[in-house]
Amino acid sequence: MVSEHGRLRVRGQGATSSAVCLIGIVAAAGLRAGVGAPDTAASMPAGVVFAVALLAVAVAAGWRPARPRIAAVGLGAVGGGALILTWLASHGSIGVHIAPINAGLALWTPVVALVAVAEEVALRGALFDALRSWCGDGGALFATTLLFALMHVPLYGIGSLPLDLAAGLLLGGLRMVSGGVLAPAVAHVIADLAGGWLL
Amino acid sequence: MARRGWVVILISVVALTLVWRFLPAGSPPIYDGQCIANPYLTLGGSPAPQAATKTLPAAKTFPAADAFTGETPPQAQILIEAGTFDNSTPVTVSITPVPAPSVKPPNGIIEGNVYRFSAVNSSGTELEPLSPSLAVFIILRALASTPAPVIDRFNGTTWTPLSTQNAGCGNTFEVTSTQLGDFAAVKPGGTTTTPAASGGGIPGVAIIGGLAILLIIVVAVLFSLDRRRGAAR
Repeated sequence: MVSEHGRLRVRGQGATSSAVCLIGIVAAAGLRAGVGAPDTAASMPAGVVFAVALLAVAVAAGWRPARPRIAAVGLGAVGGGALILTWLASHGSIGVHIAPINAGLALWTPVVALVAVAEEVALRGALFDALRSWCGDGGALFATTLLFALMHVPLYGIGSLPLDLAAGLLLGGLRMVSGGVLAPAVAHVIADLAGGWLL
Repeated sequence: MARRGWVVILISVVALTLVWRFLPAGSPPIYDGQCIANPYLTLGGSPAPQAATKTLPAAKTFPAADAFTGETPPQAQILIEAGTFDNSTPVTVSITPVPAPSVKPPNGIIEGNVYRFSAVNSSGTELEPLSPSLAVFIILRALASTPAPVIDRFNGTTWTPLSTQNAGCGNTFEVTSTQLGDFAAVKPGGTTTTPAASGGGIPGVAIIGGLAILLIIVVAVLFSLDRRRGAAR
């Protein structure tokens, strides 16, 4: 049985870890903006720096990969499908073309996948765990969803906020259902890659 | 937690559907993937920037429509709400890069191309939105995001700066306008920017260095906290 003192200590540690983790993620985003200026969203080196920084923060915070589960991959694929289908449905058709393979896409694909996985590991892995021990599932979901959306405003403008809030909520839901980052990471990678591969 | 997670997923899918329904985007990237931004194409250069034309058949009500030039990302786009134009005859929407007029904008220097946005009916008459509440969205790619460019509209005699928002990938910016015409991205101040392929230089080395040091400190503190937690267990 965990004593009240023990519970308070865990919550205090969670609050400290959350705050430091948050500073790290914000610093990583700032580093990305600095390295990628003036067009951060299109800078691949900035994307790689951002991903490495996020992974460093997550590993330092104690996040470790769990054993991959087929069910989580499947759930992530369904989540990624939902992200794409809602977009396609809004355009009134589900007819799409696959982009022709070229050197640009060949380089772009692993960079985008790396950034998406790193965002999930840092936000819905390390930060989510730290926040959950401090303020519960609801607080962790709220904070990571909001941070996810705010992180993308400097890249895509304030107009991206509603979309990234909704997408972040879905990824947070996948995190809650699956209990790990694999499902949201798979969904995130699928959705982001669709931006380059589907015309 | 799993049951609450399913509820969150359900809510988010409804939210996504509504967001996509009411905030239609012009083109990929659909989420936050790194965008692919090819070099900006300048009028008079080689290869030349592209034009775009879309003809909408006659209908009771003008449908929601978009048109965009063929570069990656498009250098000029227009998004039009349903009912914006009189659609009793076919309507042709076009985007054409045109030479910059001799008149200079009051707020800075034109960067990139001037684009002419027009909508004409089958008899060639220029159309404008049927009411001021039916604005069109004009999206232009600029050469840089800092300082933030402003999109200006040229009415044939003067340039007017419009309220401009960042639209994301590849230095794209958008405005809403109740009139069509010539539009251009204007860089505030007096110096021009050299077109860049993608990404950019490394300004503010001190800021980057400071952030890198901050990151190292954060990682060290997190390692220490994690080790202390491990020892307590």
